This record gives sequence, structure tokens and C-alpha cells, in this order.
Amino acid sequence: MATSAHLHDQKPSGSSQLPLDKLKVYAKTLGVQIRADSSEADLEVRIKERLAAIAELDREALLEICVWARRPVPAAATKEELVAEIVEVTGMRFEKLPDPGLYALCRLRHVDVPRQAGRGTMLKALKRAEPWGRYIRRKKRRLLGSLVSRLLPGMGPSSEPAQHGPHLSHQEHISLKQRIEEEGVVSGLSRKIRGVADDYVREKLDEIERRIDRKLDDIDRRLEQWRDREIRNRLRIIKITLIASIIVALLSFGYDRLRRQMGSSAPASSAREGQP
Amino acid sequence: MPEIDLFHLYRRALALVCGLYTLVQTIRALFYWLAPDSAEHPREGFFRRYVLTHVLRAKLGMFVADLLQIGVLLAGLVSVILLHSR
Repeated sequence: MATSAHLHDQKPSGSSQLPLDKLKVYAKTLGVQIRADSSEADLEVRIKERLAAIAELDREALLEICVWARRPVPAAATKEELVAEIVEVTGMRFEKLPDPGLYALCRLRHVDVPRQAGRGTMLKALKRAEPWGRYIRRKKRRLLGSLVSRLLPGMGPSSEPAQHGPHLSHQEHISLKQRIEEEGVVSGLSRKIRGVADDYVREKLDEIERRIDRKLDDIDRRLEQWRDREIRNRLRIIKITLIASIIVALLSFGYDRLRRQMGSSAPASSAREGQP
Repeated sequence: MPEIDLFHLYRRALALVCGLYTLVQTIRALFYWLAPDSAEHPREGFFRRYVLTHVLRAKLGMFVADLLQIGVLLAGLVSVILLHSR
């Protein structure tokens, strides 16, 4: 995100306030084609035109390009910040780039195609517009990439970490060859190694999470067993208490009956004794 | 001097003591489990809630036989108590 921060530093409230050198940097971040002899006024006009062109572009299409190019951008990034990232993208493998993104990329690479143009037309136009120097460098990197990937057969495709904003997060498998072709040997290899390390860490974290889940399930199951056992014990205690209460109630009932019988027999006997 | 029935006195005293004890213990238990925020340590309150949730998740179907037995015993006790007044 260094470019975006740079852009914030350079971005003027009105570009005319900037000196020529800073104006050039700002124009570069927007992807404006600068000539060596460009004057300040000329640059300002070009920047205004570029900003107008960017304003016409769909933000979702720009986000699609960032996802396709695996550029780390926040989901809330502005159009200018997205463009600052996109102008640095030189990739030419457009298989996974949707049509709106492809059209926006054509516009940002100064390729004139109509909005209704088919995918084939846009692809051809983009390939025709690629500078020779970049074409040769890309081919050289592709060759180097295939050589290095043959030398390091163990480094298969690894998943790209989720590095974009919340709705841009995804995992993509990129081969070492493709990475070297896009970023060069050193940067491609370093990114690849980092990707492998990230994969390893992610795998370990998943394993730890699975272990914790298993342990929690185990605790839950044990607690359920303990709960059932405890409820059974309590119910047994209630039953014993009730049985004891019934026994005492029966004793009490027996005692009551006995007392009543004794009470009724005593007056009768006294009455018999009192007869002449 | 009125005649004192010791067994009757014992019954009344037992009912009073047991009734009061049960009432106090029930109120204490309800307060302990239903007011987990009264715990000295927040972790204790959390575990009380956890146990309470577990108890609420218990399936009554597993204890039907025990509950039926308790019901029958309770009915027996009530009928014996009612027999006293006849």
C-alpha cells in the first residue's frame, strides 16, 4: 500500500498548487503518460482529463482488477487509490479478469476500445498496446520462470493469503512460473517462499483450532455425563425422602387410628362400669 | 393441665423444621444459580451460567421413569396425609 500512502502525500486539493516535480509524480501515480518536455499547464490538463476518465470508471471493475492482480487494497479504497495500484500492474494473463474489469484496464492502459467491444477485441487491443520493452521482459521472465520451476519442482502452487479487503478476500493458487513472469525472479521467489511459510502457519493454526474444538467437545460430553449422573442422584434422593415421608405418615396414621380407638373404647368401658 | 401428645408434638416440630430448612435451601440454591453476577469472580459467574445452560439442555425423556416413580410416591404421600382427616 506504499503507493496509496504516496498518493495521499502527493494528492493536492487543487493540483495547480503543486510544483512541477510533484505534479509529475502525481500524474505518474494516476498513470498519465508524461513526456520529458511536458509543461506544468500541459500536465494539469492531462491530470484533469485522467481524473475525469477515472471518474467514469466503475469502482467494482477497478476492484476486480485489483483482485485479479492480487494487489493488497482495502475494501474502502477510493478510485484514485485503486488506480494507483492498477497502473503498476503489468500482467498480461487476462483469463481470470471479468469483462468489466478488462474494459476498465483497457481505459487505464490508454487503449481505446468501445464499451460494447467483445472480450476478444479487448484482449487483442491490450496485446497490441503492450510496449516492446515490456513484452520482451515478460517473455524473458516467463523463460526464467519455467527454468526455475523445473529446478525447484517441490514448490508447487501455493495459496495466496487473504490480503485484500473484507469482500475481496479469496485464495488463489499461483504457480512459481507465473509469479516469476509477473514479478521477476527474486521478488517472485521471495513471495513464493513467504506463501509457502504462510501455508504452513495456516495449516498449523487450523490443526490447533481442530484440537481445541475436539477438546471442547470432549469437555462438553463429560459435563453432560456428569449432569445426567447428578440429576439421577438428586431424583434418587427425592425418592428416598418421599419413601421415608410415607413411612412416617403411615406410622402417624396408625398412631391416630390407635388413639381414636382407645379414645372411643375408654368412654364405653366407663359407661359400662357406671351401670347398676 | 392440658394433656400433651408427644407424637403429635414431634410431627409438628418435624414438619416445621424440615419445611423451613427446605425453604431456605431452595431460596439459596435459586439465588446461587439464577443470579450468576453475584459471584465473587467473573469466571465463576461464567461457569455457573455454563452449567445452568447445560442443565436446561438436559432431555427430560431420559428421566421419565424416575419422574413417574416420584409422581406415584407423591400421590401416595398425599393420600396418606388426607386419610388423617377422615
